[in-house]
Amino acid sequence: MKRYWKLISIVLITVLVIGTFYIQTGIAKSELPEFDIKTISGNEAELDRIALLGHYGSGGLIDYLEITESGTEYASGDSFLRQLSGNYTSSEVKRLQKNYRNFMRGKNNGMGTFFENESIVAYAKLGMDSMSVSNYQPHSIDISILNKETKKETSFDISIVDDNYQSMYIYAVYVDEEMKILTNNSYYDSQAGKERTEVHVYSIDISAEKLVNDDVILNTEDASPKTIAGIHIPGNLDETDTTNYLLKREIHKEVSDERESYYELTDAELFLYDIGTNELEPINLSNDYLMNAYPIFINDAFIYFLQEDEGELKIVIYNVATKEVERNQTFNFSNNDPLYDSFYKIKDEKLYIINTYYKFAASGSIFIADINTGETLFEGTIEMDNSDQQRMSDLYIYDIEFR
Amino acid sequence: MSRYFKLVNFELNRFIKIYLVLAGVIILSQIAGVILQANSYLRMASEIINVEMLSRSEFINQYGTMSFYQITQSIWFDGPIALSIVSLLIYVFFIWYRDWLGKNTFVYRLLMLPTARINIYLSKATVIFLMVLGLIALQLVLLPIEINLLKWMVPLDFRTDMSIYEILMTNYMTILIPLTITEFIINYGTGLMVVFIVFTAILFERSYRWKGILFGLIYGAFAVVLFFMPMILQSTILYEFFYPLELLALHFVTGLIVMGLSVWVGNFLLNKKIRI
Repeated sequence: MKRYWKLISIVLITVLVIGTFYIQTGIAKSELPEFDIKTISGNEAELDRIALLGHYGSGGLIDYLEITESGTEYASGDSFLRQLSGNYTSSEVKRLQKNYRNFMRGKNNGMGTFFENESIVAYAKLGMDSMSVSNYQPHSIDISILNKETKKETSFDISIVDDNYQSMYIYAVYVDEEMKILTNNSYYDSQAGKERTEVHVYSIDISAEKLVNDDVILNTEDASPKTIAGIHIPGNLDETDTTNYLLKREIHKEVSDERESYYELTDAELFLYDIGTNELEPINLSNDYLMNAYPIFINDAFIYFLQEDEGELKIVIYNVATKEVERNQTFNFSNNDPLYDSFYKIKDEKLYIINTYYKFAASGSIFIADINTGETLFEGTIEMDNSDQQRMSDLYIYDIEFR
Repeated sequence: MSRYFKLVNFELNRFIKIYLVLAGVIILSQIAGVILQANSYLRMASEIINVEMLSRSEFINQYGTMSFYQITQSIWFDGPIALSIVSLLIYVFFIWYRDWLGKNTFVYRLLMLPTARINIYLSKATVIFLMVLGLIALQLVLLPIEINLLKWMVPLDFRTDMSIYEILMTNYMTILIPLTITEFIINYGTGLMVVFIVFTAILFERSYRWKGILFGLIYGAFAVVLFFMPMILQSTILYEFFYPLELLALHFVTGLIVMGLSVWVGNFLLNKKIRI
C-alpha cells in the first residue's frame, strides 16, 4: 500500500477538487442577480400566466433569462442537457415538438414557419440550392402538412416560376380552405439600379398540391418616388389567436430639397388585406390616425392602434365590420413613463406594456390594463432582488410569453 | 487487477518528475503573472494620478479597473497551460516509444510480464488521463488563490472582482473546465476515446513499422468517421432528422463502440503482432 501513496493521493485530490468544483458551480450560479416583479398596485394574479424573456449582461457575457412571478431563471443555470434541447426555441415550437415529435423532425432550425389549427399542422420553408454557401437563391417553397386526425404527413414543393429573386423570406403561413403563404421577395432591378421588393401571397390548393394564385400585394416598383409602402404583419399570426387580416401602409412624402435628404410626410393610406379572400380594401380613418397611430394587434373583428398624444397613451380600436373607429381607450398609469421604447402586446383583451431596456441600476416597469375599460389591472417594477450587490450590466427584455 | 494497479503506479513513477516540474511551472508562472500585472497596473495608476493630477475616479473612468480578465489574457497565465497541453500530447506518443528506445529494449520485459498484455495499454491510458485531470484540479485550486492574491494586492476601488465562474466563462478555459458536469464528462470522455484511438494507431506502427503508419492513419480515420457517423447522417441523408438529445445519445453509443474497438484491436496487436 505504501508504494502507492503517490497514485492514491493524486487520484484522491483530483476527484475531491473536481467534485467540489462541480458541486460549487451549482451554488455559484446563484451569484447572478435575481430579478423580481414588485407590485405597485393591482392584482398579482395577473402575473400568473406570463414570463418575460430577456438577457442580462454586457460585452461578450450575456446570459438569457426568464423572469416570472416566482423569480429569475437563467439559461446557463439550466442543466446542459436542457440547454441542448433548445433554450432558444420558442415555447410554441417546443409545444409542437412535444405533441408531434416525428412531424417536427428536421423543422427546428429556424428556417421555416409554422401554422396550426384544430385539424392540421403546416410548415413551409424555402427550398434553396443547399450545399452552395454563396447561393441563397430560393427556387421553391417546400411544404409539409400533418393531418392531426389521421396522423398522415404530406410533403410537396411549389416551384417559384420567377427565378429572379435574389432573396426571399416567409412572413407567415395560413391555412383555411386554401393554404396561403406570405413572402417577401426581393430582386435587383438592373435597369433602375435599385433593389426592389415584392410582397406575395401564394395561394395553394392543398389537395391538388398546386399553386393556384400568386397575388402581389406590394411592389416597390409601382411606387412613385413620393411614396413609401410597407406591410404590417400582425405579430399574432402564428400564435393561437390568428387572424385573416394584414395591413398595408403607404406614406406620401413631400421632398423639400433636391437631394431627397429631407422630406415631410403629407399623408398616409392604410389598406386591410383579407388573406382568405385576397381582397385589399382601404381603411377610412382620419389623417391624424393614419399618420401617428401604430397598429399593434389585429383579430378578426378589430384592429388596435397605439397612439401617443402629448404623453398620453391611447389605444384606438377600429371595427373591421362597420369600418369605423369603435372607441378610443385611454389609460391612467400612476407612474407615467411606460411609453415610447416600450414593448406592447395585447392578449385576451388585456394590454401589456413592458419597458425593454434597463441600464445598470435603473429598474424596469410593467403595466397590465384592461383594453375595454382602460382600468389598470397591474402596475409593477422589475427590480434586482439582492440590492446590496452592485449591478454591473444591462437587462434587456425582448418578449413576453403567455403560458 | 493488482497487476494493472502496479503497472499504473509504475507508469506514474516514470513520469512524476516531469509532471511535478509542469505543475511547478504552472504555479510559479501564474502566481508571478498575478503579482507582476497587479504591480504594473498599480504603478501606472500612481504615476498617472500623481503626474497627470487625476482623481482616483477620473483615472478609473479613463483607464478602467483591474480585473482577473487581464491576467487570464497574459502569457504568464496561458503559457504554462499551453506548455502542459503540448507536453501531455507529446507524452501520449512518448509513453510508448520510450519503451522501445535505448539499448536494452525495455518493452521486452514489459511484454514478458505474467499478466494480460492489455493491462499495459490500459495502464498507460489511465496515467495520461489521470495526469490531465490532475492538472485541471491544480488549476481549480490555484484560481481561488490567485483571485485572493489579486484582491489582496489591488485596493477595492481599482478592481472589478470576478468569480471563478465568470473567469471560466470569458475564455477558452470552458473547454478545459466546462461549467456543467455533463459537459465535463462529454469533453473528457471524448478525450479518453482519442487517447485510445492514438494508442491503437501507435500499436499498428509498432507492429508493422512503415506499413503500420498507413494502417494507423487508416484506423484513426475510420474511428473518427465511425464516431461522427450520427452527425454525418444528420447533415446528409437524414438531414436535421435527429433531435439534439438523440444526437448526443447516438454519439455516446458510437463513442463507446470506438473505445471498445480500439481496446480490442490494441489487445490483438499486442498479443499477436507486436514487434520488439
